[in-house]
Amino acid sequence: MRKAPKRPIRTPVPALPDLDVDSLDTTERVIQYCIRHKLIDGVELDIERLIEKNPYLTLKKKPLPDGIDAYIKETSSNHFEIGVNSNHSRTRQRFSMAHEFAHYQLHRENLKGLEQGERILHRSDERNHLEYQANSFAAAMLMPEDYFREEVRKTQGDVAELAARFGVSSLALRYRAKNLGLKGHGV
Amino acid sequence: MENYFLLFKTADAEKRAWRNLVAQRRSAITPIVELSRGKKKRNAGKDADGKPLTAEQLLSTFGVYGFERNWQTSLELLGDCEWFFLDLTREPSLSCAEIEQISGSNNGYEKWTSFVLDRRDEGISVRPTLIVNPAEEDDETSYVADLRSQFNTFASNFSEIAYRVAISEDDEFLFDLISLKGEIDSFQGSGGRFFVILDHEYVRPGNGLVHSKRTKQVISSIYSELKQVEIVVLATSFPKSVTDIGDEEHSIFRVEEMFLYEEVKKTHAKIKYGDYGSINPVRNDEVIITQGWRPRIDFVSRHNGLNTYYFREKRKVVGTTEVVVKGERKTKNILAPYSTHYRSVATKVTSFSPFYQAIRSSWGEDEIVAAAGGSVGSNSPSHWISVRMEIHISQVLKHFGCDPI
Repeated sequence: MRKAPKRPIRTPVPALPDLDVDSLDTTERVIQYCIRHKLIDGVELDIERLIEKNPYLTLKKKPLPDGIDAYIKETSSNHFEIGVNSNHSRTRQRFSMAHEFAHYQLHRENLKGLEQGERILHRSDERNHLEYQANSFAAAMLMPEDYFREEVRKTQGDVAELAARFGVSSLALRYRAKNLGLKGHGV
Repeated sequence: MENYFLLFKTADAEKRAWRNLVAQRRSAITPIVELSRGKKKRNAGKDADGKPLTAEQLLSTFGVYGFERNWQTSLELLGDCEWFFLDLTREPSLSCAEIEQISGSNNGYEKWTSFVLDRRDEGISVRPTLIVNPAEEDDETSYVADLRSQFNTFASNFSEIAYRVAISEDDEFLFDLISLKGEIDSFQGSGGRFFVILDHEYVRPGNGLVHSKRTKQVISSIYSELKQVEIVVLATSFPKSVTDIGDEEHSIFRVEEMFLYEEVKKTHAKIKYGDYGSINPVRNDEVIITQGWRPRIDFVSRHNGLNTYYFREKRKVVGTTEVVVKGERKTKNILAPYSTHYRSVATKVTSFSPFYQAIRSSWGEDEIVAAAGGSVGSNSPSHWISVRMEIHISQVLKHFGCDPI
């Protein structure tokens, strides 16, 4: 039995409001939203358009100091800016965007509560639970478990091919595979 | 009483919580029982060569799980209730071949209606939940005919019927209610009560406000079609893993299902409250813990609104020992016993002022007090889930001012 039955219906149904773009608080909801809005091409999730569809988020790609991938900060009440280091590779930028998007979905209250000088949550080697949660969310969003397992099967675990399909780095891909308990076939 | 609808998933931890909840509190709740597959039978789930079946094969093989035993023990436990709704799990990881068979749509959901009627005939106070599970070959006409047939069978046998929808995922559900409009109106006209349960499943603490905006609109759409239905706003905010919400050792987070309900109620005053008893919707009972676990105790507090907090500890190394692994001598850490840590976290829980509160006649709170005093009831995580659930239910009843104790 499905949570959302596949109804064999032709009669138009009164439209219900879509899940709000700022209430995608699980990776499953992000994926469903992206499917409905055609933001997944093959298996690659269009993180840039996902951010741009959110009226409360502004995306800025610009050079950032060395060692900084991205940031998120509140620019006005309930409006946030995500900045991404444009000097980085495409795959690294995609992960950075997903990471900051995760902060927005998971930690809005924490972002607001931070002092002026600490509003920016840099992705760095520093490990705290907010960073860990954002990384997990980003990985699960860019490489959904069901899609991931299926693609590993199709490609027989070819890391380069899998990384290209999901639009992530080989390192991010291997890390995700490890977290899902996948072994062998190159992953 | 109908102030509190509890989605009762049928895992052992939930059954233990229910058994230990005092009878007056049990009778103050209206459960929605979600039957799930039960435990895997010993040595089941393998093919003729002893190779484990795939997840897909498991779902289509009968006799792998103890489904029958699970529903029997679950329903026996609910004898104190005036009545409760019976439903089947919609969570694929908790389903089994028997559930897939019972939920078939053919002949007006014949197997499901028979199952519910059989339970009623055994003297159990069940009320039905409508199942919506079209087969691949169904067309619109047969789909609607099966749904209506199911409704009519239940309408002629029961005075209460429920319809549960996964509100975040199912955006076509109004079609079902509109298709049944004539039947529902007629049922209500003759004194029947129809409940629409809006199941939000997991709502992250802090996100109730954004979910409530949509829920209010969805409820308005339902009322525009069916004015007299009774709507239950159901959700849970307990995460799959506490580190999804907080840090490794301690955190406090809002019982978001209550916040969501109270937000929606500002617009739709007649709605009813429902939750999962502080249980996450997804249960993974096949995870084998090989590395041990970090002892944790949770507490639901009514201080400054309903909040859940937890204390958790990594087990301490108290010494080392020499072991031989594959002929090689290695040094292995000796960890402190679980009971030492449960005692320690129980002490932290009871010392967390002003959030910690004594609760009269609460088994869960008694367990925490006893553990803090050195008498740890159990070192099993499942036991402490039961403790959390029993406390959560007691505190929700108190929050509503309808605790019978």
